[in-house]
Amino acid sequence: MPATAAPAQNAFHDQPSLSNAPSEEETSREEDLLLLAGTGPADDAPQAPHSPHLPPELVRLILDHYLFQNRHKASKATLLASVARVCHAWAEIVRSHLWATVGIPEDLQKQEKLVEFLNASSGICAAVRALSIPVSEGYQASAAETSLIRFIHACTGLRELDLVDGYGGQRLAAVLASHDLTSLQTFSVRLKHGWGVYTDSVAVAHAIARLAKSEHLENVSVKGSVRERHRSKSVRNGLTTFDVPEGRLGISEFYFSLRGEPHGKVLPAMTRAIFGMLDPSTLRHLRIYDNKSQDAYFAFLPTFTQLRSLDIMSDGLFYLETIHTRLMTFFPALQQLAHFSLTRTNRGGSRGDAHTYPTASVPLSSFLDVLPPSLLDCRIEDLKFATEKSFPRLPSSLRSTKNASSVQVWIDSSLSVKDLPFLLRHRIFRLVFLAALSTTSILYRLRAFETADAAKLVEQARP
Amino acid sequence: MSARGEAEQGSETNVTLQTSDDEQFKVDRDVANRSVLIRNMLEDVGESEQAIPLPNVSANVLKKVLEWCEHHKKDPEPLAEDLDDNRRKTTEISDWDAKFIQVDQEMLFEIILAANYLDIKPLLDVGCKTVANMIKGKQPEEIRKLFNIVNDFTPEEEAQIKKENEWAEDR
Repeated sequence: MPATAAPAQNAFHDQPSLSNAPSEEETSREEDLLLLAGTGPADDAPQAPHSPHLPPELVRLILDHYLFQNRHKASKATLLASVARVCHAWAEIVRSHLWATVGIPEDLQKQEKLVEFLNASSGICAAVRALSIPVSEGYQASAAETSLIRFIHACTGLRELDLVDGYGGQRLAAVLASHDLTSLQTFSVRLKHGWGVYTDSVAVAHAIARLAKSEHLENVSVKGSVRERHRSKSVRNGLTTFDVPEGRLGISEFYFSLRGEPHGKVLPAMTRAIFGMLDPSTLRHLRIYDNKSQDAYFAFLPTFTQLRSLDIMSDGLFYLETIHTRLMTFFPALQQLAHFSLTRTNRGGSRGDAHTYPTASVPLSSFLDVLPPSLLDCRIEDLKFATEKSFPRLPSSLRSTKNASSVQVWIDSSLSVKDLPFLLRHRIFRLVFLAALSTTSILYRLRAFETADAAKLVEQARP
Repeated sequence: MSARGEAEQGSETNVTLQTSDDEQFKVDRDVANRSVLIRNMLEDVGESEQAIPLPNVSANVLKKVLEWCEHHKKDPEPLAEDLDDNRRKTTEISDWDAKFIQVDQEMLFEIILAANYLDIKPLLDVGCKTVANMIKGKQPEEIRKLFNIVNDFTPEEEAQIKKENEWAEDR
């Protein structure tokens, strides 16, 4: 046992002498070990053993466990009522639990009361990380709006902002125009009530443009639906083009899920406006759901050359052109793409003219030829590929997949029984079928295939 | 300096740890590897006879921590996804751990601090869950006493905190 209980860092500093000095290598290792052990200046020395003081991050962890253990017994606020009154430091931790996410109520009276209270509590403002605001008619009352804007100003640590649009969407822009939102990482707009008219849509586009200054913004999503009022003044007056606001959104993730009329004017215009703001050099992940204005967004896809993942899901896709033609428009440009999925939803089961299944057969080999070499997984539903004669180039097309150890393509498609010999000949060894018995015949649906040739060809392609 | 060890089975599988009060512990590498800090240090610096300094842990606490590590040395490594919220979901403390953690409060807090410093998340959880159980049903003054905390609120500030809680409850 040592005679004294000196802190280790001092003990080490006192040790070296000329007679038993360690080698240079040993000294270096010793220094490395001390550095890795987190040895710091005297201020970092451990607390005296008689008064162990837990740092805030450990108190936070203890409270996490406490809340979890008692989660079914009472609300967070009830559980933390005593804890919050222990001291200032603990009160801050409790605030971060209770006020990290704040939803402003739609009811105007409740809203005014809450915002008034929040404005009076600076500690709460600092704790807010995610804020959801209904931008409804109520905000046309200027006093409430001013109060709310003051509150947003005070939320200096805000990371997520969710604007739920109702009526009078120009308030969206008003809210954002008032604030720099420099700390914001996630921004979403929900057109909740389905009444997003032209003016609302303009406001959404302008609201998003305001965010171009937010350095930390990573993720933007636009969700909901746009319903056109054909009798509204803006549509009647032909105000259906957007002035794309200046500034590019340098974000890495964008989620666009907006329903609307495919032949309308607002949705395509809005789509063009918003996609036009996305910075192609930063965008890595793009999800487009439910948007029928395909021509509007397909035009932008070839410009997003840095995309790593692309998911498109929509009802009524491809009723104008074949999938193959669509893919050819952007696959050659997306040379970084690792994940791709394209799914046709079938809301309501309609297969009328506007929702026609693709009728033109797409040669599978032709499709494989346009796959970006970086692609690691790919899922396409409703791709109807053709019969035996269409396959001859299959193995050579897989030669392009240099980065993959195997290629797996998921396809939900019809498959003729006479295709099978070809698939077997080309060592397409894994086939997953779904079978269903109809009144007249057994229907097979090819769900997936995997070819042994891929690995072999990839191996050959390696230097 | 004395050298104590839970398992002394050849230097190639043993690691020497040096505490803040200059005691050395020779332990099996599997035991030492329960600490992510030590494991990373060993990986970064490589094989050596030299003792690993643990300047933030005293001998009596390290002894206790190593007792836990020895008992749990064959436990599977926690998965990355278990490291956050999910690990809280295993609310139960095993019988052995419950008995292990029956120590005086000073030692309990020291174990928590050591587990945090040494990055032994399962042990940290055992300690935090134990303290969380101690908080339950206590008034602010009792919690202050438990944690050796001074009340730094003015009466007005305490009233404001109460009000904030009421609002949080009503939301």
